[in-house]
Amino acid sequence: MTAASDQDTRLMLAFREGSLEAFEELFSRHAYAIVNYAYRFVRDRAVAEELAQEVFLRVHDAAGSYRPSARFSTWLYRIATNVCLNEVRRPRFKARHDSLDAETTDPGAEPRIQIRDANPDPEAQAARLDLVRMLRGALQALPEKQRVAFILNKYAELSYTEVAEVMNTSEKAVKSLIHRAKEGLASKLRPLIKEIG
Amino acid sequence: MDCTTARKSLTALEAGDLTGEDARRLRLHLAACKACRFGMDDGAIPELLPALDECIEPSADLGARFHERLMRHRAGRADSGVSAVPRLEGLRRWIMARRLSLAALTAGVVICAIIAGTYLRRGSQGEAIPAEQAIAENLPLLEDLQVISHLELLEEFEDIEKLSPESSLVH
Repeated sequence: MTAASDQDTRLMLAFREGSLEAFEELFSRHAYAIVNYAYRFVRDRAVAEELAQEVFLRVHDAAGSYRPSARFSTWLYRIATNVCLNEVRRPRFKARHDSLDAETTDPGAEPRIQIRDANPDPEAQAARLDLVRMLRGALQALPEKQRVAFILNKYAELSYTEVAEVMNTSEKAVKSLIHRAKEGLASKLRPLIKEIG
Repeated sequence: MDCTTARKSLTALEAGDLTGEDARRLRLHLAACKACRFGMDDGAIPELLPALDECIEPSADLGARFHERLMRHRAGRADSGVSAVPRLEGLRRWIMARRLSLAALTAGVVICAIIAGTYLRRGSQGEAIPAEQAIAENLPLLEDLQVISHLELLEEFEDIEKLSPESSLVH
């Protein structure tokens, strides 16, 4: 285990003994990652923050079932995945996000594009945001299990073993899901890559 | 990261052998470097997605909002009798899930104790007290534990009832 995961385990055990401060420390340590994880599914900051809070309330309620032998983040992402999938399966979510070309529902979210843009030109910025929307659409178009496996491995940076634990499946199945996800994405992304300046 | 290192590391990234900060730096380089990007195989292109996709900053007041919601949540659980200490909560759930089994086990222990007591106790003259007499003496206890309906002695219940002046079932 890494030092970070040791710290998570210590905090979780402290919470189980009654320390609320330890639990809120866990929230502080993982809120950013879980909010962004939820954002991959719902693409709405307010909803992502609500889901992240729901995840931690479930962690709070289920603390009695936490086993220190397991990595806390794996357990956390399992809960987060269930919460996010429940949300995207709701009819109201599907009705709102049926169109792959749907604009973001949160104009105030101000998504931060990670790569440094050498060209601050407004037109180039607009083109980049269009690119992000197309990337988002390509990801949303994947079947659910492929999307989950891909996001856990590539965005949340969980290993294949950890993804398998989260999804309650085998490592071999995870590799297959990611391979198929990449095949599905590659054909859509190849033309878009040329558009990046 | 330079382009030579990036191209050498790409195979490891695709195989899932490059993780954490190294993977992040490689993705950022590939997303920013046209030359490296155009040389990528189709299968490797999805590796760029996390570097190209958007990240959001959670609201500044998220921590405070969560704290408020957590306090309400805990207050709600306290009102409904759920333990605030997770370990006790786990024990409570274990007991509630098995309450019928535990009740049956308790009833079995009581019956065994009564039967054992029947054969261990002696009257003033040293003779054994009949089983029916022992059960009649303990009838109120057995009624409280709702054991009566499970007893095979039910067919002899009228005789037992007559022996016990304390039973509420005596008409």
